[in-house]
Amino acid sequence: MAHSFCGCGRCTVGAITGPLMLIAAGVLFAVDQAGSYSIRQTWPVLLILYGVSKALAAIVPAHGGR
Amino acid sequence: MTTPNPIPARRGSLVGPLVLLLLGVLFLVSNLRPDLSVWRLFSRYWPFLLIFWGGARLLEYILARFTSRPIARGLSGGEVFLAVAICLLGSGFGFFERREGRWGPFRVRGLEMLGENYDFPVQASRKIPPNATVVINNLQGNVRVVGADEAELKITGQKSIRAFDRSSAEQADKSTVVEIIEQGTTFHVRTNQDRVSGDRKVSTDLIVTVPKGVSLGLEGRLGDFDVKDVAGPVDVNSQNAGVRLTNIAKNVRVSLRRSDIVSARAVKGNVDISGRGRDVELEDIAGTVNIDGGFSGSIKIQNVAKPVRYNSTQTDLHVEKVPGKLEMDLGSLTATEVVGPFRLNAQSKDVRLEEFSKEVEISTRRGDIQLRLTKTPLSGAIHAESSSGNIRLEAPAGARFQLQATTGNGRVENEFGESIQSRTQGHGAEMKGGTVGATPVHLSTKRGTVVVRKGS
Repeated sequence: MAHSFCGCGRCTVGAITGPLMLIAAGVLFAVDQAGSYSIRQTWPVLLILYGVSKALAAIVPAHGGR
Repeated sequence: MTTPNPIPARRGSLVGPLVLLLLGVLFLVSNLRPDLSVWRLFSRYWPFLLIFWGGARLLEYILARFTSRPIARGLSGGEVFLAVAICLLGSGFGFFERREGRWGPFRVRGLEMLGENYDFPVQASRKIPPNATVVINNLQGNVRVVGADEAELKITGQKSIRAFDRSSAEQADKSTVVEIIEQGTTFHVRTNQDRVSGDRKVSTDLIVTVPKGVSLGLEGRLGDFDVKDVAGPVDVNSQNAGVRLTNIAKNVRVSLRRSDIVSARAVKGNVDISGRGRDVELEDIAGTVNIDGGFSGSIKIQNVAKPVRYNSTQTDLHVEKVPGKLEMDLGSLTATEVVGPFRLNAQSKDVRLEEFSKEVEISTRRGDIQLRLTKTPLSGAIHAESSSGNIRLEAPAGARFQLQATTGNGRVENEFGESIQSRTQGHGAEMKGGTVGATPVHLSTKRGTVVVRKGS
Protein backbone atom coordinates (compact mmCIF):
# COMPACT_ATOMS: atom_id res chain seq x y z
CA MET A 1 0.00 0.00 0.00
CA ALA A 2 2.85 2.38 0.71
CA HIS A 3 4.14 4.57 -2.05
CA SER A 4 7.08 6.84 -1.78
CA PHE A 5 6.01 10.38 -1.21
CA CYS A 6 6.53 12.91 -3.94
CA GLY A 7 5.96 16.57 -3.20
CA CYS A 8 4.57 17.54 -6.58
CA GLY A 9 1.17 19.16 -6.89
CA ARG A 10 -0.52 16.08 -8.27
CA CYS A 11 0.71 13.86 -5.46
CA THR A 12 -0.32 16.48 -2.90
CA VAL A 13 -3.85 16.59 -4.28
CA GLY A 14 -3.94 12.81 -4.42
CA ALA A 15 -2.72 12.49 -0.85
CA ILE A 16 -5.19 14.86 0.76
CA THR A 17 -8.26 13.87 -1.27
CA GLY A 18 -8.92 10.73 0.77
CA PRO A 19 -8.73 12.33 4.20
CA LEU A 20 -10.81 15.30 3.03
CA MET A 21 -13.46 12.97 1.61
CA LEU A 22 -13.52 11.14 4.95
CA ILE A 23 -14.03 14.40 6.81
CA ALA A 24 -16.72 15.50 4.37
CA ALA A 25 -18.53 12.16 4.72
CA GLY A 26 -18.33 12.48 8.50
CA VAL A 27 -19.74 16.00 8.42
CA LEU A 28 -22.58 15.01 6.07
CA PHE A 29 -23.57 12.08 8.27
CA ALA A 30 -23.36 14.24 11.38
CA VAL A 31 -25.60 16.81 9.71
CA ASP A 32 -27.93 13.96 8.75
CA GLN A 33 -28.17 12.93 12.40
CA ALA A 34 -28.70 16.47 13.55
CA GLY A 35 -31.78 16.32 11.37
CA SER A 36 -31.34 19.38 9.20
CA TYR A 37 -30.39 17.73 5.90
CA SER A 38 -30.65 14.05 5.16
CA ILE A 39 -27.70 12.22 3.63
CA ARG A 40 -30.10 11.27 0.87
CA GLN A 41 -30.15 14.94 -0.11
CA THR A 42 -26.52 15.79 0.48
CA TRP A 43 -24.59 12.83 -0.94
CA PRO A 44 -23.83 14.61 -4.25
CA VAL A 45 -21.46 16.85 -2.28
CA LEU A 46 -19.10 13.87 -2.06
CA LEU A 47 -19.33 13.39 -5.81
CA ILE A 48 -18.56 17.05 -6.37
CA LEU A 49 -15.58 16.93 -4.01
CA TYR A 50 -14.22 13.89 -5.77
CA GLY A 51 -14.71 15.53 -9.16
CA VAL A 52 -13.00 18.70 -8.02
CA SER A 53 -10.00 16.78 -6.72
CA LYS A 54 -9.76 14.80 -9.95
CA ALA A 55 -9.95 18.01 -11.93
CA LEU A 56 -7.33 19.64 -9.73
CA ALA A 57 -5.03 16.66 -10.11
CA ALA A 58 -5.38 16.95 -13.87
CA ILE A 59 -4.62 20.67 -13.92
CA VAL A 60 -1.80 20.80 -11.38
CA PRO A 61 1.62 19.99 -12.83
CA ALA A 62 3.25 16.69 -11.95
CA HIS A 63 6.99 16.32 -11.46
CA GLY A 64 8.92 13.13 -11.35
CA GLY A 65 6.87 11.60 -14.14
CA ARG A 66 4.75 9.05 -12.37
CA MET B 1 9.98 19.17 -3.07
CA THR B 2 11.77 16.35 -4.88
CA THR B 3 11.49 12.64 -4.54
CA PRO B 4 12.96 11.83 -1.13
CA ASN B 5 16.19 10.02 -0.54
CA PRO B 6 16.07 6.28 -0.81
CA ILE B 7 14.69 5.53 2.63
CA PRO B 8 12.74 2.32 2.18
CA ALA B 9 9.23 3.62 1.56
CA ARG B 10 7.36 1.00 3.51
CA ARG B 11 5.59 2.82 6.25
CA GLY B 12 1.86 3.13 5.71
CA SER B 13 -0.53 5.12 7.80
CA LEU B 14 -1.01 4.38 11.49
CA VAL B 15 -4.50 5.82 11.65
CA GLY B 16 -6.29 3.11 9.69
CA PRO B 17 -5.11 0.34 12.01
CA LEU B 18 -6.01 2.49 15.00
CA VAL B 19 -9.59 2.85 13.76
CA LEU B 20 -9.72 -0.90 13.30
CA LEU B 21 -8.44 -1.34 16.83
CA LEU B 22 -11.10 0.99 18.21
CA LEU B 23 -13.86 -0.88 16.41
CA GLY B 24 -12.52 -4.17 17.77
CA VAL B 25 -12.57 -2.85 21.33
CA LEU B 26 -16.09 -1.54 20.78
CA PHE B 27 -17.35 -4.93 19.61
CA LEU B 28 -15.61 -6.69 22.47
CA VAL B 29 -16.96 -4.37 25.16
CA SER B 30 -20.48 -4.61 23.80
CA ASN B 31 -20.26 -8.40 23.84
CA LEU B 32 -18.86 -8.62 27.36
CA ARG B 33 -20.91 -5.85 28.92
CA PRO B 34 -24.22 -5.56 27.04
CA ASP B 35 -25.54 -3.23 29.73
CA LEU B 36 -23.17 -0.43 28.75
CA SER B 37 -25.09 0.22 25.52
CA VAL B 38 -21.94 0.93 23.59
CA TRP B 39 -23.88 0.66 20.39
CA ARG B 40 -26.14 3.50 21.28
CA LEU B 41 -23.07 5.66 21.73
CA PHE B 42 -21.67 4.42 18.46
CA SER B 43 -24.94 4.95 16.61
CA ARG B 44 -25.00 8.53 17.81
CA TYR B 45 -21.40 9.62 17.40
CA TRP B 46 -19.96 7.50 14.60
CA PRO B 47 -19.79 10.34 12.02
CA PHE B 48 -17.20 12.01 14.25
CA LEU B 49 -15.10 8.89 13.95
CA LEU B 50 -14.87 9.58 10.23
CA ILE B 51 -14.06 13.24 10.83
CA PHE B 52 -11.29 12.41 13.31
CA TRP B 53 -9.95 9.76 11.03
CA GLY B 54 -9.78 12.19 8.11
CA GLY B 55 -8.29 14.88 10.32
CA ALA B 56 -5.65 12.50 11.65
CA ARG B 57 -4.71 11.39 8.16
CA LEU B 58 -4.41 15.00 7.09
CA LEU B 59 -2.23 15.77 10.08
CA GLU B 60 -0.11 12.75 9.38
CA TYR B 61 0.34 13.92 5.82
CA ILE B 62 1.36 17.41 6.89
CA LEU B 63 3.85 16.04 9.43
CA ALA B 64 5.30 13.68 6.86
CA ARG B 65 5.68 16.54 4.47
CA PHE B 66 7.59 18.66 6.97
CA THR B 67 9.93 15.87 7.92
CA SER B 68 9.95 14.65 4.32
CA ARG B 69 9.32 11.14 5.43
CA PRO B 70 7.68 8.71 3.06
CA ILE B 71 4.02 8.04 3.55
CA ALA B 72 1.18 6.27 1.86
CA ARG B 73 -0.40 8.27 -0.86
CA GLY B 74 -4.12 8.79 -0.36
CA LEU B 75 -6.31 6.09 1.12
CA SER B 76 -5.54 2.47 0.55
CA GLY B 77 -8.16 0.06 -0.70
CA GLY B 78 -8.48 -1.46 2.76
CA GLU B 79 -9.11 1.90 4.34
CA VAL B 80 -11.78 2.81 1.80
CA PHE B 81 -13.46 -0.51 2.55
CA LEU B 82 -13.33 0.16 6.29
CA ALA B 83 -14.77 3.66 5.83
CA VAL B 84 -17.65 2.36 3.72
CA ALA B 85 -18.27 -0.38 6.29
CA ILE B 86 -18.44 2.20 9.09
CA CYS B 87 -20.88 4.31 7.07
CA LEU B 88 -23.16 1.34 6.41
CA LEU B 89 -22.97 0.16 10.01
CA GLY B 90 -23.51 3.62 11.43
CA SER B 91 -26.34 4.72 9.19
CA GLY B 92 -27.90 1.31 9.65
CA PHE B 93 -28.01 1.76 13.41
CA GLY B 94 -29.29 5.28 13.10
CA PHE B 95 -32.02 3.82 10.98
CA PHE B 96 -32.88 1.21 13.58
CA GLU B 97 -33.04 3.78 16.28
CA ARG B 98 -35.29 6.14 14.39
CA ARG B 99 -37.70 3.67 12.91
CA GLU B 100 -37.82 0.78 15.22
CA GLY B 101 -40.26 -1.92 14.51
CA ARG B 102 -39.49 -2.25 10.87
CA TRP B 103 -36.57 -4.56 11.23
CA GLY B 104 -37.49 -6.76 14.13
CA PRO B 105 -37.38 -9.39 15.31
CA PHE B 106 -33.64 -9.71 15.55
CA ARG B 107 -31.74 -11.08 18.45
CA VAL B 108 -28.28 -9.69 18.66
CA ARG B 109 -26.57 -9.32 21.98
CA GLY B 110 -26.10 -5.75 23.01
CA LEU B 111 -28.46 -4.34 20.43
CA GLU B 112 -31.26 -3.34 22.73
CA MET B 113 -33.00 -1.36 20.05
CA LEU B 114 -33.81 -4.60 18.31
CA GLY B 115 -36.00 -7.31 19.75
CA GLU B 116 -39.74 -7.52 19.38
CA ASN B 117 -42.59 -5.10 19.79
CA TYR B 118 -45.36 -5.92 22.25
CA ASP B 119 -48.45 -3.74 22.39
CA PHE B 120 -50.60 -3.13 25.45
CA PRO B 121 -53.78 -1.07 25.75
CA VAL B 122 -53.83 2.00 27.97
CA GLN B 123 -56.86 3.20 29.86
CA ALA B 124 -57.49 5.61 32.71
CA SER B 125 -60.08 8.18 33.64
CA ARG B 126 -61.06 10.53 36.42
CA LYS B 127 -63.59 13.27 37.15
CA ILE B 128 -61.89 16.64 37.27
CA PRO B 129 -63.15 20.23 37.66
CA PRO B 130 -63.81 21.95 34.32
CA ASN B 131 -61.14 24.61 34.85
CA ALA B 132 -58.40 22.38 36.25
CA THR B 133 -54.82 22.25 35.01
CA VAL B 134 -53.78 19.07 33.22
CA VAL B 135 -50.10 18.30 32.80
CA ILE B 136 -49.21 15.37 30.57
CA ASN B 137 -45.74 13.97 30.78
CA ASN B 138 -44.84 11.41 28.15
CA LEU B 139 -41.20 10.81 27.38
CA GLN B 140 -41.76 8.87 24.23
CA GLY B 141 -44.83 8.59 22.05
CA ASN B 142 -47.52 10.74 20.52
CA VAL B 143 -50.16 12.58 22.51
CA ARG B 144 -53.46 13.74 21.17
CA VAL B 145 -55.66 15.97 23.31
CA VAL B 146 -59.23 16.88 22.50
CA GLY B 147 -61.42 19.22 24.53
CA ALA B 148 -65.00 18.06 25.13
CA ASP B 149 -68.07 19.18 27.06
CA GLU B 150 -67.51 16.71 29.87
CA ALA B 151 -66.13 16.94 33.37
CA GLU B 152 -63.87 13.98 32.94
CA LEU B 153 -60.26 13.34 32.06
CA LYS B 154 -60.29 10.26 29.88
CA ILE B 155 -57.23 8.49 28.58
CA THR B 156 -57.05 5.71 26.02
CA GLY B 157 -54.20 4.64 23.86
CA GLN B 158 -51.56 2.08 23.27
CA LYS B 159 -48.27 1.26 24.83
CA SER B 160 -45.63 -0.31 22.69
CA ILE B 161 -42.82 -2.12 24.47
CA ARG B 162 -39.75 -3.39 22.74
CA ALA B 163 -38.29 -6.37 24.51
CA PHE B 164 -36.75 -9.74 23.81
CA ASP B 165 -39.61 -11.78 25.20
CA ARG B 166 -43.23 -11.44 26.27
CA SER B 167 -42.70 -11.91 29.99
CA SER B 168 -40.18 -9.13 30.21
CA ALA B 169 -42.51 -6.92 28.15
CA GLU B 170 -45.40 -7.72 30.50
CA GLN B 171 -43.29 -6.89 33.48
CA ALA B 172 -42.38 -3.57 31.86
CA ASP B 173 -46.05 -2.92 31.18
CA LYS B 174 -46.89 -3.41 34.85
CA SER B 175 -44.26 -0.97 36.02
CA THR B 176 -45.29 1.71 33.54
CA VAL B 177 -48.95 2.07 34.38
CA VAL B 178 -50.37 5.37 33.20
CA GLU B 179 -51.34 7.34 36.27
CA ILE B 180 -53.41 10.42 37.00
CA ILE B 181 -52.03 12.17 40.08
CA GLU B 182 -53.91 14.96 41.78
CA GLN B 183 -52.04 17.91 43.25
CA GLY B 184 -54.45 20.65 44.28
CA THR B 185 -56.18 21.73 41.09
CA THR B 186 -53.46 20.25 38.91
CA PHE B 187 -53.76 16.76 37.49
CA HIS B 188 -50.58 15.09 36.31
CA VAL B 189 -50.78 12.37 33.71
CA ARG B 190 -47.64 10.25 33.87
CA THR B 191 -46.65 7.43 31.58
CA ASN B 192 -43.76 6.48 33.89
CA GLN B 193 -41.52 5.25 31.13
CA ASP B 194 -38.46 6.13 33.19
CA ARG B 195 -39.28 3.23 35.53
CA VAL B 196 -38.13 0.76 32.93
CA SER B 197 -34.45 0.38 32.28
CA GLY B 198 -32.16 -2.02 30.54
CA ASP B 199 -32.83 -3.30 27.11
CA ARG B 200 -36.54 -2.56 27.03
CA LYS B 201 -37.94 0.53 25.44
CA VAL B 202 -41.41 1.91 26.03
CA SER B 203 -43.35 4.24 23.80
CA THR B 204 -46.85 5.36 24.74
CA ASP B 205 -49.39 6.85 22.36
CA LEU B 206 -52.19 8.59 24.21
CA ILE B 207 -55.56 9.91 23.21
CA VAL B 208 -56.75 12.20 25.94
CA THR B 209 -60.17 13.80 26.29
CA VAL B 210 -60.30 16.74 28.68
CA PRO B 211 -62.99 19.19 29.80
CA LYS B 212 -62.90 22.09 27.36
CA GLY B 213 -61.88 24.73 29.90
CA VAL B 214 -58.66 23.16 31.24
CA SER B 215 -55.18 24.64 31.09
CA LEU B 216 -52.81 22.24 29.39
CA GLY B 217 -49.17 21.49 29.96
CA LEU B 218 -47.52 18.96 27.65
CA GLU B 219 -44.05 17.62 28.18
CA GLY B 220 -42.06 15.04 26.28
CA ARG B 221 -38.82 13.97 24.74
CA LEU B 222 -39.80 12.39 21.45
CA GLY B 223 -43.26 12.30 19.93
CA ASP B 224 -45.88 14.53 18.42
CA PHE B 225 -48.45 16.64 20.21
CA ASP B 226 -51.85 17.28 18.73
CA VAL B 227 -54.29 19.53 20.55
CA LYS B 228 -57.79 20.47 19.51
CA ASP B 229 -60.65 22.54 20.97
CA VAL B 230 -59.19 23.69 24.26
CA ALA B 231 -60.35 26.92 25.88
CA GLY B 232 -57.48 27.36 28.33
CA PRO B 233 -53.81 28.17 27.69
CA VAL B 234 -51.60 25.46 26.17
CA ASP B 235 -47.94 25.02 26.99
CA VAL B 236 -45.81 22.52 25.05
CA ASN B 237 -42.29 21.61 25.99
CA SER B 238 -40.34 18.90 24.18
CA GLN B 239 -36.95 17.82 22.95
CA ASN B 240 -38.23 16.66 19.61
CA ALA B 241 -41.81 16.97 18.51
CA GLY B 242 -44.18 17.92 15.78
CA VAL B 243 -46.83 20.15 17.30
CA ARG B 244 -50.28 20.77 15.87
CA LEU B 245 -52.70 23.03 17.68
CA THR B 246 -56.20 23.78 16.48
CA ASN B 247 -58.88 25.99 17.97
CA ILE B 248 -57.32 27.21 21.20
CA ALA B 249 -59.04 30.05 23.02
CA LYS B 250 -56.09 31.30 25.08
CA ASN B 251 -52.35 31.81 24.77
CA VAL B 252 -50.15 29.12 23.30
CA ARG B 253 -46.51 28.55 24.18
CA VAL B 254 -44.32 26.05 22.39
CA SER B 255 -40.73 25.41 23.32
CA LEU B 256 -38.76 22.80 21.39
CA ARG B 257 -35.22 21.63 20.90
CA ARG B 258 -36.04 20.09 17.57
CA SER B 259 -39.15 19.68 15.47
CA ASP B 260 -40.33 18.97 11.97
CA ILE B 261 -43.44 21.10 12.18
CA VAL B 262 -45.19 23.52 14.47
CA SER B 263 -48.63 24.48 13.31
CA ALA B 264 -51.30 26.55 15.02
CA ARG B 265 -54.70 27.30 13.62
CA ALA B 266 -57.54 29.38 15.05
CA VAL B 267 -55.86 30.62 18.21
CA LYS B 268 -57.59 33.45 20.06
CA GLY B 269 -54.60 34.30 22.25
CA ASN B 270 -50.93 34.92 21.61
CA VAL B 271 -48.62 32.37 20.03
CA ASP B 272 -45.05 32.07 21.34
CA ILE B 273 -42.69 29.63 19.69
CA SER B 274 -39.09 29.17 20.69
CA GLY B 275 -36.36 26.71 19.82
CA ARG B 276 -35.30 25.04 16.64
CA GLY B 277 -37.02 23.13 13.93
CA ARG B 278 -38.13 23.03 10.38
CA ASP B 279 -41.54 24.28 9.29
CA VAL B 280 -43.91 26.66 11.03
CA GLU B 281 -47.49 27.20 9.93
CA LEU B 282 -49.73 29.73 11.60
CA GLU B 283 -53.20 30.64 10.49
CA ASP B 284 -56.01 32.76 11.95
CA ILE B 285 -54.29 34.03 15.06
CA ALA B 286 -56.09 36.73 17.00
CA GLY B 287 -53.16 37.58 19.29
CA THR B 288 -49.52 38.39 18.75
CA VAL B 289 -47.05 35.94 17.22
CA ASN B 290 -43.56 35.62 18.58
CA ILE B 291 -41.06 33.24 17.03
CA ASP B 292 -37.66 33.00 18.60
CA GLY B 293 -34.98 30.68 17.34
CA GLY B 294 -33.96 28.92 14.18
CA PHE B 295 -36.51 27.36 11.90
CA SER B 296 -34.84 26.12 8.76
CA GLY B 297 -37.87 25.06 6.75
CA SER B 298 -40.68 27.17 5.44
CA ILE B 299 -42.56 29.56 7.65
CA LYS B 300 -46.10 30.37 6.61
CA ILE B 301 -48.10 32.98 8.43
CA GLN B 302 -51.62 33.83 7.45
CA ASN B 303 -54.22 36.16 8.89
CA VAL B 304 -52.72 37.44 12.12
CA ALA B 305 -54.52 40.36 13.74
CA LYS B 306 -51.68 41.55 15.95
CA PRO B 307 -47.92 42.12 15.62
CA VAL B 308 -45.75 39.28 14.33
CA ARG B 309 -42.15 39.07 15.47
CA TYR B 310 -39.54 36.65 14.18
CA ASN B 311 -36.10 36.62 15.64
CA SER B 312 -33.21 34.37 14.67
CA THR B 313 -29.47 34.80 14.28
CA GLN B 314 -30.00 35.59 10.61
CA THR B 315 -33.26 37.42 10.51
CA ASP B 316 -35.11 40.03 12.49
CA LEU B 317 -38.66 40.69 11.43
CA HIS B 318 -41.48 42.77 12.78
CA VAL B 319 -44.85 43.19 11.09
CA GLU B 320 -47.71 45.08 12.67
CA LYS B 321 -50.44 42.90 11.16
CA VAL B 322 -50.73 40.19 8.55
CA PRO B 323 -54.25 40.27 7.10
CA GLY B 324 -52.85 38.53 4.04
CA LYS B 325 -50.01 36.07 3.85
CA LEU B 326 -46.34 35.95 4.70
CA GLU B 327 -44.01 33.15 3.64
CA MET B 328 -40.40 32.86 4.52
CA ASP B 329 -37.61 30.35 4.20
CA LEU B 330 -33.85 30.58 4.59
CA GLY B 331 -33.38 32.44 1.31
CA SER B 332 -36.53 34.39 0.69
CA LEU B 333 -39.45 36.27 2.15
CA THR B 334 -42.67 36.91 0.27
CA ALA B 335 -45.56 38.82 1.77
CA THR B 336 -48.90 39.92 0.37
CA GLU B 337 -51.24 42.31 2.13
CA VAL B 338 -49.29 43.13 5.22
CA VAL B 339 -49.70 46.20 7.37
CA GLY B 340 -46.66 48.10 8.56
CA PRO B 341 -44.60 49.21 10.22
CA PHE B 342 -42.84 46.34 8.46
CA ARG B 343 -39.25 46.04 9.58
CA LEU B 344 -36.86 43.41 8.27
CA ASN B 345 -33.20 43.02 8.94
CA ALA B 346 -31.75 39.98 7.22
CA GLN B 347 -28.41 38.53 6.25
CA SER B 348 -29.30 37.01 2.97
CA LYS B 349 -32.83 37.07 1.63
CA ASP B 350 -34.73 37.90 -1.50
CA VAL B 351 -37.62 40.01 -0.34
CA ARG B 352 -40.88 40.52 -2.13
CA LEU B 353 -43.68 42.63 -0.73
CA GLU B 354 -46.99 43.08 -2.46
CA GLU B 355 -49.93 45.32 -1.60
CA PHE B 356 -48.42 46.43 1.67
CA SER B 357 -49.45 49.49 3.62
CA LYS B 358 -47.83 51.90 6.10
CA GLU B 359 -44.08 52.15 6.65
CA VAL B 360 -41.62 49.63 5.28
CA GLU B 361 -38.02 49.29 6.36
CA ILE B 362 -35.89 46.57 4.80
CA SER B 363 -32.20 46.00 5.11
CA THR B 364 -30.41 42.93 3.76
CA ARG B 365 -26.80 42.02 3.22
CA ARG B 366 -27.46 40.03 0.09
CA GLY B 367 -30.63 39.67 -1.93
CA ASP B 368 -33.04 41.43 -4.22
CA ILE B 369 -35.84 43.60 -2.91
CA GLN B 370 -39.10 43.91 -4.79
CA LEU B 371 -41.89 46.17 -3.64
CA ARG B 372 -45.09 46.06 -5.59
CA LEU B 373 -48.26 48.12 -5.23
CA THR B 374 -50.94 47.93 -7.88
CA LYS B 375 -54.14 49.09 -6.17
CA THR B 376 -53.06 50.42 -2.83
CA PRO B 377 -51.60 53.91 -2.71
CA LEU B 378 -48.30 54.52 -0.92
CA SER B 379 -49.30 55.08 2.69
CA GLY B 380 -46.00 55.21 4.52
CA ALA B 381 -42.33 55.90 4.10
CA ILE B 382 -40.22 53.24 2.42
CA HIS B 383 -36.64 52.56 3.27
CA ALA B 384 -34.98 49.67 1.45
CA GLU B 385 -31.30 48.91 1.38
CA SER B 386 -29.22 45.99 0.22
CA SER B 387 -25.47 45.55 0.23
CA SER B 388 -25.68 43.46 -2.87
CA GLY B 389 -28.86 43.06 -4.89
CA ASN B 390 -31.37 44.73 -7.15
CA ILE B 391 -34.13 46.91 -5.84
CA ARG B 392 -37.37 47.40 -7.65
CA LEU B 393 -40.37 49.49 -6.70
CA GLU B 394 -43.58 49.19 -8.64
CA ALA B 395 -46.29 51.74 -7.82
CA PRO B 396 -49.58 52.79 -9.41
CA ALA B 397 -49.25 55.43 -12.13
CA GLY B 398 -50.73 58.17 -9.98
CA ALA B 399 -48.60 57.42 -6.94
CA ARG B 400 -46.99 60.42 -5.26
CA PHE B 401 -43.69 60.03 -3.50
CA GLN B 402 -40.41 61.74 -3.06
CA LEU B 403 -37.66 59.47 -4.27
CA GLN B 404 -34.06 59.15 -3.43
CA ALA B 405 -32.36 56.13 -4.94
CA THR B 406 -28.71 55.23 -5.29
CA THR B 407 -26.61 52.36 -6.48
CA GLY B 408 -22.88 52.20 -5.89
CA ASN B 409 -22.29 49.94 -8.82
CA GLY B 410 -25.01 49.50 -11.43
CA ARG B 411 -27.65 51.48 -13.19
CA VAL B 412 -31.00 53.08 -12.42
CA GLU B 413 -34.27 52.95 -14.34
CA ASN B 414 -37.18 55.32 -14.03
CA GLU B 415 -40.67 55.11 -15.52
CA PHE B 416 -42.13 58.05 -13.69
CA GLY B 417 -41.13 60.72 -16.18
CA GLU B 418 -39.27 63.95 -15.83
CA SER B 419 -40.14 64.76 -12.26
CA ILE B 420 -37.45 62.24 -11.33
CA GLN B 421 -33.93 62.93 -12.49
CA SER B 422 -31.29 60.30 -12.99
CA ARG B 423 -27.56 60.72 -13.27
CA THR B 424 -24.61 58.40 -13.27
CA GLN B 425 -21.95 58.68 -10.66
CA GLY B 426 -18.75 56.70 -11.06
CA HIS B 427 -19.75 53.06 -11.51
CA GLY B 428 -23.10 53.76 -9.95
CA ALA B 429 -26.06 56.03 -10.43
CA GLU B 430 -28.63 58.09 -8.57
CA MET B 431 -32.28 59.06 -8.94
CA LYS B 432 -33.93 61.98 -7.20
CA GLY B 433 -37.19 63.84 -7.38
CA GLY B 434 -40.91 63.19 -7.44
CA THR B 435 -43.52 65.12 -5.55
CA VAL B 436 -42.03 67.47 -3.00
CA GLY B 437 -43.31 66.81 0.48
CA ALA B 438 -44.94 63.50 -0.47
CA THR B 439 -44.14 60.13 1.14
CA PRO B 440 -40.37 59.66 1.23
CA VAL B 441 -38.93 56.62 -0.55
CA HIS B 442 -35.29 55.68 -0.04
CA LEU B 443 -33.82 52.89 -2.10
CA SER B 444 -30.14 52.13 -1.94
CA THR B 445 -27.86 49.29 -2.95
CA LYS B 446 -24.11 49.00 -3.13
CA ARG B 447 -24.22 46.71 -6.13
CA GLY B 448 -27.23 46.19 -8.38
CA THR B 449 -29.90 47.89 -10.42
CA VAL B 450 -32.51 50.20 -8.94
CA VAL B 451 -35.80 50.43 -10.82
CA VAL B 452 -38.95 52.48 -10.23
CA ARG B 453 -41.82 51.26 -12.36
CA LYS B 454 -45.41 52.18 -13.04
CA GLY B 455 -47.62 49.27 -12.11
CA SER B 456 -50.49 48.32 -14.32
